[in-house]
Amino acid sequence: MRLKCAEKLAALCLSAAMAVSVSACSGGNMYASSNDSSSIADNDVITIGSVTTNSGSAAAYGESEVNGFRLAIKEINENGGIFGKQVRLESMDDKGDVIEASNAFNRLAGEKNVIAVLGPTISSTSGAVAPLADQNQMPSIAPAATADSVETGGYLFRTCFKDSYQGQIAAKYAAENLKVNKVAVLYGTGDPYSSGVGKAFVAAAKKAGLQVVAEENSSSTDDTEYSSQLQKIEASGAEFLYAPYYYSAVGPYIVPQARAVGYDGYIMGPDGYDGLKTTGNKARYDKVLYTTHYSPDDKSNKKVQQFIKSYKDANDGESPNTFTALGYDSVYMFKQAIEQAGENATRADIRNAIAGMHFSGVTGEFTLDKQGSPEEIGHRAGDEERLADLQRHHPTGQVGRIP
Amino acid sequence: MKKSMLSIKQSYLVCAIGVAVLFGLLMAVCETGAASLYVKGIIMTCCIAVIMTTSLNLTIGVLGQLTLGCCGFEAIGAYSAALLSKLLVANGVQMDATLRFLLVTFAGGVIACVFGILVGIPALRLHGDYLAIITLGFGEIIRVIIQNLKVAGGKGLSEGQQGQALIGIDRLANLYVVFWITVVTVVLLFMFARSRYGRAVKAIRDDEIAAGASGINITHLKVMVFAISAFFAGIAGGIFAQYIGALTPSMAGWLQSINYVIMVVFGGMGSLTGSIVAAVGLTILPELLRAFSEYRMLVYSVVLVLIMVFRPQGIFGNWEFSLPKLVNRLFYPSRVKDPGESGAATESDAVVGRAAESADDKETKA
Repeated sequence: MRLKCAEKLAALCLSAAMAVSVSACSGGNMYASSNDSSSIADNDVITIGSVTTNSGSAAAYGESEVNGFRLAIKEINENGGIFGKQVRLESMDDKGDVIEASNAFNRLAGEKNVIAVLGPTISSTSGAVAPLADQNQMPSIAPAATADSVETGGYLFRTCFKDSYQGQIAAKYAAENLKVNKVAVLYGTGDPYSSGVGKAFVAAAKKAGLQVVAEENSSSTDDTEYSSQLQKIEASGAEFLYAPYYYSAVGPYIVPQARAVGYDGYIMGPDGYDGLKTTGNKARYDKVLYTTHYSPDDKSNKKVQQFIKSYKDANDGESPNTFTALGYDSVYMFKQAIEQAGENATRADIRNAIAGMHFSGVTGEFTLDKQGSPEEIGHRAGDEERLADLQRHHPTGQVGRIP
Repeated sequence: MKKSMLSIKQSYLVCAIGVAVLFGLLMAVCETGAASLYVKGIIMTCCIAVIMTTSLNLTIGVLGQLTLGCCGFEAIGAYSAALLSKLLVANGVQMDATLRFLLVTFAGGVIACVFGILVGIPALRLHGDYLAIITLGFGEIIRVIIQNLKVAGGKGLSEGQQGQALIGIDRLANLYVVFWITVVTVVLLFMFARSRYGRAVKAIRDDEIAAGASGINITHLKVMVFAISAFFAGIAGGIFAQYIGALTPSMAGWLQSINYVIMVVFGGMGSLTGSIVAAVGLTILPELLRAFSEYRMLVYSVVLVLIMVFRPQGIFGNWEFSLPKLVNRLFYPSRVKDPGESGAATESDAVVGRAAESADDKETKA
């Protein structure tokens, strides 16, 4: 067969174009940061963007956060705004999808008047946005992304504490406040949150001198039958059970089943217990505790009661949850940072003001550590002194009880 | 062929020009700064979706076997590429960023392909619902395995943490390079679908028994198609990993796979051009609907339902868009009735041209 000259030509064209494209790589670099964003002084309104999960399976979390954002912004605007300028929220949905979150974040970063970003909501989207925040030099606060793997401390910060931190406070609480000796742990191996917190608890419990008598697990956090694991825990003589699961498993299954096999000690968990509903005999839930970012019963903190009141007024008597509180505080963290950075603050100035900031809000009083999370404990050697300090500064590191 | 029509050679040329024009457009919007990071991100996402959808269409549309595990292969490709990239850096291998990107992406594809063969041999003895279930299970297995691998979490390799997202992957994906990978993928898939093998595969789809009786090695071809599909899904995964920079095992879940199956059905099973249009369209649609905020996914679903009600065969059905055919129709309307079979590459290039063109149009508008 004759060589088709048009075919050759076509191939030539394509390869030439490809060569051009490869040599033009530097030109097509997607990640060159555009640092031509304006400062606060250039705009009449301060625009804060938000990327949250408002649809999909985690929609309830994102919606709650946005409610918190809106309440805080409304309050700020009613009190004269920041430097006399009104604050506006530009809210975007990410479906809980990493690609959508990246696109939405890029879009906000591309708008020059957006000075800071709230979100994303969940850990997976936050993990994807963290490098984007650095590249775009866009100060961001993820209110509730608790996973240890989310890289904070560059331009991304968080209001909540890390997962591993919750395991640590729980161990400390068990040893110091409940004064138990024998502890057991039950977690879901298939779930990063559950296994991450569970393992952090085991490590911290051993360090605190507690005796870990049973370490049981389930394959997922969606199981409905835990009796066999709970029987082993009961047989081990544990006085305290740490079970990092979501409220959907703890309320209807773990607690009733634990009581049914005769275990009557403490059951404690992380913030996933928030929203737990009791079933049947309420007395079974008396010794159920959890660590939380925010506790509505915190009578010592006047801001909490004020926040609950204004939220109820604005939302037909509905009570705010943890995500709302974290979202609410995140906005005030930006306010504090912007005020500290001054009237001509740019994105970079705001970032610098957030790093290492000391903040007091409805989720407690805390200082951001070098990694951009509320100060953590026991993670590195020589932290014992900071640990005591932290307990004082982070009252929400305290414990909620089932209402 | 009549002189006044485009010859096969000319058809190739027309398609090559189509792609070149498209690339020129892409370069123009990127170099002049007309395309923000946001728009570039969407074009990148479109490219990944196009690779996933067209390769999946090979199994679903051309071979006629419903699989729900494509994201399992995508995840294998993504994690392999990410870990390999980290491994190269950890061992101090010095190489050009683009070269490293191409190398690890290709390796991700090869590894996914190996898994495709391993899974395909036993799985393809089944068909219909049973195959769908087995591939669905496969995706879940991949997800759980990745979740429990120490090397595939946290910072990865020796610094790995079990059960965490894999972070800190070098973000080497370059839009131009990814564009050309997409072009090459689509061209190859078209060539395969139009080749002798492709025709044999279509024969299997239409009547397995008749095809077997005609001497076609059914198992061999099925596994081959499955492996090719897996290879390109792995490539798409490699690009995804190096674009996003952080991976979670949930990407292998069946919900993600369903998304791509929707795109294939939406575009028309068996039509690669339809897949491209659907992939681009359904990627851009939620972004265009941002103005509706909370209601946008509702609108998205309504669009899906409407299309399925009024065009159950998908937008393109079996029909393939072809740039040379269009040229023929425009310039030689009287002779259009018998345009003849133009070459495989011709069509595919046209396809790429058209789809990406529409992508660009929509994006600049947005």
